[in-house]
Amino acid sequence: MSDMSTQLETASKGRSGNPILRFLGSYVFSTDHKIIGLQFLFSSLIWFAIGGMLALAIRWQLAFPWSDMPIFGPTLFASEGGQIPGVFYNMLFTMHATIMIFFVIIPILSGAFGNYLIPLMIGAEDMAFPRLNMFSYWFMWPAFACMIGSFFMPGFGPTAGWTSYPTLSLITGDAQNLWILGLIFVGISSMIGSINYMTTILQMRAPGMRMFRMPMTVWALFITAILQAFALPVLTAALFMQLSDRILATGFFAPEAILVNDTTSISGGGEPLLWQHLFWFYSHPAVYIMILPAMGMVSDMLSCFARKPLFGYRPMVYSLTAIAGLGFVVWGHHMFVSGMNRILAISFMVSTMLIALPSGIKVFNWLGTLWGGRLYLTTPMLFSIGFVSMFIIGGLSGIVMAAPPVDIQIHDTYFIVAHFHYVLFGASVLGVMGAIYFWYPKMFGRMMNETMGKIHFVLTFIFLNGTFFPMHFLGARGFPRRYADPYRFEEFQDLLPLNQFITLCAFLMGAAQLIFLVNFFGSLFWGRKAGRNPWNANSLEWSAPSPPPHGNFDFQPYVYRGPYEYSHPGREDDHWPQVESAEAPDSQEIPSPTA
Amino acid sequence: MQTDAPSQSSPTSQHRVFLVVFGLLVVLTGLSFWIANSAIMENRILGWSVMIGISICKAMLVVAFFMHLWWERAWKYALTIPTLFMGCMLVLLLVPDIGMRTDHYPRSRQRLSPESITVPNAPGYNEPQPKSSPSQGSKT
Amino acid sequence: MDTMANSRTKPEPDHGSHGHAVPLVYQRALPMSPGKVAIWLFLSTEIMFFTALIGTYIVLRFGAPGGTWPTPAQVGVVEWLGALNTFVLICSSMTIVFAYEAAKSDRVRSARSWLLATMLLGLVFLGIKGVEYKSKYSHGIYPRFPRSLMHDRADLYFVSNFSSQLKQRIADEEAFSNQSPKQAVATLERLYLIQTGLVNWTEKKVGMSDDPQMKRLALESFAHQIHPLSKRPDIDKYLADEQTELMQEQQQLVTQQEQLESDLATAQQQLATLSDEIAQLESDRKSLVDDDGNFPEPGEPEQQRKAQLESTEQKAKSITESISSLNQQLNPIQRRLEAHSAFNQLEKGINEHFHLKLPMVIPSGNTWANTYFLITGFHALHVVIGIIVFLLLLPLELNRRRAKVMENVGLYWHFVDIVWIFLFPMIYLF
Repeated sequence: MSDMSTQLETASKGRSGNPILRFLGSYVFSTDHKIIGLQFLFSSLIWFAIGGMLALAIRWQLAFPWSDMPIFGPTLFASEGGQIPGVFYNMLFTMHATIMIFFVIIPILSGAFGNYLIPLMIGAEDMAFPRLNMFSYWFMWPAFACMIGSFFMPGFGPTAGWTSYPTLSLITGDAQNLWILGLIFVGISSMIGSINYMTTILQMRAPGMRMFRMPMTVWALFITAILQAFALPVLTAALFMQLSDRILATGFFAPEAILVNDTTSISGGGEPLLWQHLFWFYSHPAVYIMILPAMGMVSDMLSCFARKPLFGYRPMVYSLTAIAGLGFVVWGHHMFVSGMNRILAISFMVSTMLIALPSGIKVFNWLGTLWGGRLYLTTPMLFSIGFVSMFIIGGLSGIVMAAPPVDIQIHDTYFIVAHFHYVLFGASVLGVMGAIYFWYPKMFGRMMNETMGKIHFVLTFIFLNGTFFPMHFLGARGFPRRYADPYRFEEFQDLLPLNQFITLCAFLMGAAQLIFLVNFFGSLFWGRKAGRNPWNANSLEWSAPSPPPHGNFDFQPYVYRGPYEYSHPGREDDHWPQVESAEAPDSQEIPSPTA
Repeated sequence: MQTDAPSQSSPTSQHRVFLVVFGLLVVLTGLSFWIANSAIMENRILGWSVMIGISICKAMLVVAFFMHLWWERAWKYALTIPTLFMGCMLVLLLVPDIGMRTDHYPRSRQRLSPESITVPNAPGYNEPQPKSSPSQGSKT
Repeated sequence: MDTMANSRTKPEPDHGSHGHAVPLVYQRALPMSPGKVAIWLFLSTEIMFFTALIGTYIVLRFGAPGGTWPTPAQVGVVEWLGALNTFVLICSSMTIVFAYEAAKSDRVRSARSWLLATMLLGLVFLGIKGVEYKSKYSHGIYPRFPRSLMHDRADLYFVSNFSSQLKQRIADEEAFSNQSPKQAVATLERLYLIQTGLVNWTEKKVGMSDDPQMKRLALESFAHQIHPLSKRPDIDKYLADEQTELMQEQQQLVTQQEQLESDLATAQQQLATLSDEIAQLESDRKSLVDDDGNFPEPGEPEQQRKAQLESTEQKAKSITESISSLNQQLNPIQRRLEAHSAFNQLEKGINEHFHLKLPMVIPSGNTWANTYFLITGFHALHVVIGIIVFLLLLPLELNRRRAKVMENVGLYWHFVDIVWIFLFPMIYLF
């Protein structure tokens, strides 16, 4: 059923039929990993735009509290003079976080790049289970439906925060049910995907592609898949329990004898803290799910554009593994103020600080890769360097708040917001952007415009720091997150100008992404044609045609070396593709990888 | 259990292993059933540990023989040990906060808690508790 | 499942002969089909899923306040049914192993019959599970909105919830008995007795008593009569004491009543005599009518008697009043004693004995029901999925080529068995 030949048959059948069926067959109901990767990419980019709009709405409210909000104000709240109600603000930050985490970063990293790159990079014709892979994308659609539907439920949508802590999440409106269902579907999709990735990487590597010859991207996606496979079931179980608390009157997360408005009574006997534990057992590893693939891709890009082998390949792999392993035992640092056991809190603090070690190794190795290299400052390289620098800032503030005394002070302030936006936007999104510029020629056979790319990078980089760096100061002053109107407190009133500056930067950063949009879609038609290997990179995907056909390779790849043999001494070429044998290549068997 | 059971014309040694394992499983099930109704359960902790021990034995029998892990190569350790470690760790780290949650309930929450109706010194029903005594000791 | 289980055919290397794609060769990390790798990975994610569920059960159970957790007997869990289900699943585990072995050695018919046996055993398991769920439902041991029938402790919230549900039930029964009288009369009588003899009595007793110990006993004995959790000698003693006390009180009151009634009888006799005498005197007087048609003024004796009559009437009235007040006192006591004699001997309590499904007290019963349905429900769901997969496999020819599929399905089924191996002692025996 997953046979290559049947796939090719259906593909060719589609080609001969009528154009609509042909389009559906090859782009919608496709089992090809590349098409599925692009489906993930495009839907994530659309959600990225929606989540970004929500973020800008949040910023508007914080800069100009209770003034008429553009777009949302006149369309939804014309009768109130364009002023949003407080509960709408709750919906804004809840949905911004949910969309960005579950519908943008995770799907774009492990969904889009995982699907697109894994088979290409290990020399496989497709995933181990192509049809299952298609289902993993199609399980996203019920989730999309739930999320979109929840916007139209009474009360504007889910308002319990993306963490959905009980007891608030047990008594908010029905939109929360859709939110939970949506997350369950995302979870099923990710779980199917991650099992598929792990099987593919374990069982379908090209001959000679040993585990320690895999590019860092594949390693990172492999470890991310392990994280997802082990952490997601726990969240799924917790989500089912919360759903049944809400609709079946159970009380896993409800304390005893809760009475709300004399109508909602929860049978109780449960423990709200249980949800926090189960939720963060997934959601802390999820933090690494959101950054590890970007780390892997950045490692590949840095090595390629420094024309140097990756500094410390094996330590990089081991540190990835260590981050993943430690990532499972640090979840409690999100709960220092929840009233959790103090001894447990100390152990969580220690393990959290331990993560600084493997992360430090990675940063050191990236810098070591750049050191003394012949740097080509292309757009992907700029984004990669941006990734490393932003990750240092975000990582350092993370170590600071690992200590409970500090965390108790800054918990739920903008310091936290600054920290995770530096890691998630500053690092992950920059990494994703760089990866899009890097692999775009492979995906579409055309180059993206370098000048526009550089402008995009510079503007994004400046305004991202303008947006998120001042948030550290806000947080140090105790400016709370998730408040629609913090200026109600007199001590925060003088922070309004700073917030307006942040909002200005945020809007400009949003505007800068339009350049990316134009570049992305424009280059589909007007981009310079790219050959097989426009960046002179080593890994397997660059030996395949651009864009690769069904089945990926027009030759049987045999792998002779690791992916980072750049500037090998005694070689004329400054790169040495993995498929190129040490002897003179047999042109019959292995076509020249550089077209 | 099956009328047209296939004739075991040449029962291999593996078949005998399966039958032995099946017998052991049945015996162990009976054993834990017997323990639950025996004097061992007067010491509940002991009874629970013995029964969980029996369950672990049964699970290992199933995994090792019915699921053929006994005959598999070293990957079985790479897969099972981390999984079991993570499962145990999740449950163990839940214990201090939720498994022992009633040990440090505040007084206000104790009143709402499902009081054991066999506790002789249970506080009066629905009588307002003196609010000025928040520092009262934890529940026994 | 079958998508995952289907192993890929491994094509031979064929370099560059096709136009744009060639079948590729791979090196494998593990010496088995991708399907088996995937099913093992899937099972490890399943382990985490059930760890979360069972872990929730464990921590909620052992963290239950004051060591409260219903024993299997208190929530009507039948231990031998659980043991039987364990046996059924172990049998099915063995049959699927034999099915796989048969498929491996190309004995197609035998493989199919073993698979059929496995599926039937799975259905038997689900059937027993269904019987258990039905019994939970008929006992009211399940969560529901606006609140479940189970209360964590015997307090006034419990009594008031009980009272309102009982009123609802009585109203329903009354409507029903209007349609078909005679049928519901016994039930209705019983409900009235519960209302007066138990609910109203307990409410009054708790409202009037100042002694917290007495209040507690009154509430607990009420809860005990509805749904006894265990042998409670203190409550039995309390009820017996109350019964003897009430009987004495009743005796006293009855004596008083008899006294009063005899007083009343005397008074009524007196009244009769007096009114006779007055009538006699009046007629005597009226016979002495003068020419003008005037009677003589009533004489001294007559007036005296009239005053006597009035006072006796007053007395009779007050006696009647005190009799009725005595009856008011006596009535609840009699109802209570009726309730005592009707309900005290019920081993399993009113709810169970009359199938009433009224609110009851099971400490931590809600949490028990939540976790019970959670873990057994998800386990049963996995059994259902397994049975569906068996159904899909049955029409196929289970030969050597499909042995890999059979193996993967078997792995899944064994996992379901293992989960039950842990659930069985935790739910049925702990």
